[in-house]
Amino acid sequence: MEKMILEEIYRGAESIIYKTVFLGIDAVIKYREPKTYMDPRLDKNIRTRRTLIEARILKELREKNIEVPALLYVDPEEHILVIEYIDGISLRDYMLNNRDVNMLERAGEILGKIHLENIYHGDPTLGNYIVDKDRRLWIIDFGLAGYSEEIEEKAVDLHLTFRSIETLPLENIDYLKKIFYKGYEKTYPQAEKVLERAEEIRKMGRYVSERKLKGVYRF
Amino acid sequence: MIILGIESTAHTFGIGIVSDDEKRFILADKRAVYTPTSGGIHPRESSRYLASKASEVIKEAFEEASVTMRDVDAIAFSMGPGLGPVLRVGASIARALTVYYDKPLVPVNHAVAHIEIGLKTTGAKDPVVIYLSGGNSAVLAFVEGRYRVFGETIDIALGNLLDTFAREVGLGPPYVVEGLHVVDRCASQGREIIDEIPYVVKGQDLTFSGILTAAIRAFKKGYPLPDICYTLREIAYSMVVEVGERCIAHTRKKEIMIVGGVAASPVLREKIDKIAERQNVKTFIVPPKYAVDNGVMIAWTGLLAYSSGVTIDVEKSIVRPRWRVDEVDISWRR
Repeated sequence: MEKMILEEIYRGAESIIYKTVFLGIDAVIKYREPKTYMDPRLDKNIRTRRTLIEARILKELREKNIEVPALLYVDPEEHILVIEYIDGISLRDYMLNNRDVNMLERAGEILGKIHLENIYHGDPTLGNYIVDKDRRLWIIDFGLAGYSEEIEEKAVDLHLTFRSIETLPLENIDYLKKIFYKGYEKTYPQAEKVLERAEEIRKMGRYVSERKLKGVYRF
Repeated sequence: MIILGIESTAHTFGIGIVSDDEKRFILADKRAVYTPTSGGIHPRESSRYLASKASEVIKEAFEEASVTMRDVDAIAFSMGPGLGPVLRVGASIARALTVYYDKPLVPVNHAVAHIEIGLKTTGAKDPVVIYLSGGNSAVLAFVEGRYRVFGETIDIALGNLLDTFAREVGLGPPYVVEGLHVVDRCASQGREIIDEIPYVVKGQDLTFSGILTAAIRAFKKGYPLPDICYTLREIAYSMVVEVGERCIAHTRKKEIMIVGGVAASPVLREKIDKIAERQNVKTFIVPPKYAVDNGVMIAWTGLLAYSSGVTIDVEKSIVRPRWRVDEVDISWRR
């Protein structure tokens, strides 16, 4: 194999991302570093599980024609994934610069399509969607994802999405949530049930003053 | 300036008297603590016990401080969050003193007070805050005028998980012996990781109820208790630390501080030190005496709030059992 040139482009709490060219394709290497604060056995379990689930779900969603980058290589023992590189900016940054609500609706459509496969994302913040140069929208980062036929996990996704939208320093947050939900509803027939459960989760949160109110997510 | 602070949210009735004189900061720190003989805290029982102790604690505090009510500039009280009946004990006393002595009344959010006394006692300036009390678990950071919730538990609190598990398997009460939680103590004898206890981080949020259920199930199946405690502790603490690290990565803050009753755990501290090293941030741990509920933290936060003009009319001083930390404008940090 030709020698790879690595450029570290992101160092998060979960992994380090390097940009590279893999088999002639612009790619990122996602490496999950050992976490020294945990029992090594537990740490290895978690990193292997997250690497594998991410690989499995990327492959499955790609086959279903859902907007995820292509999986190119996986090494669960070394906790490494190689994934197609998507040149763009996060949906969060895109929203701050463009205020293009249609893109938010498309994000809702993507999440709905994923839920229709009985897959949940686990961390669907606006930072985990990428708008590329051609204004196509992609979703990434499936390390906390999983399979579930239950409403519960999907509702947590919706709850986390709304929380993420709420951190945008923009006006009309309720309207933005509504737009996202409009997209979600389009592709996921059980959206209404998920929304109801998301509301309950919201009310379960510690010390939520809205607990007494009815329908915190009623738009 | 001298401020009287009244803490009364769960199991502690605390009176703190503080001054803005750096050399004589804490004038008095008196407390009465309700300890149930079995089970958890029953709000009514706790409120009755604390009400019966209140006047004695107040009297002792004034004796210790060598000041009188005349010297006090304002009265601060924990208006929430907490257990309703217990909150009302502190609030009633605060209102009575306010009206009788004609002093301003200052509402204090209990969680904000934990953070402020942490900053005051550790010298941290702008940390990511790991807030672990009996009733709540959250990762917070000061952003745009408020302590924002970066991640939090979506079901039970970490302290709640430890206490409930201890109770279910007969390790407690008491839950904390010589500054160490009984689950922590038992875990030190554990060796094996039990695979069926789940590690669940949801985005930046945490969930502990699944761990509790799985740990109790493992106990009933006959797994050695020390191994269960070890696994439970490793998983629960690591989840909190993982979210703390994500918050550091996200906010780029240079400090991390642990506050609240569970802050005393040496195991947790060790884990925090490791991410601090990796992320190149400094660790701050609130001294145990001020990490638990106390009146000084209410008085000190009351002093900060009162200095920036925060007071409340007695008629409007209704307790707020579910008052969120991110609802409070931190007007003294503008």
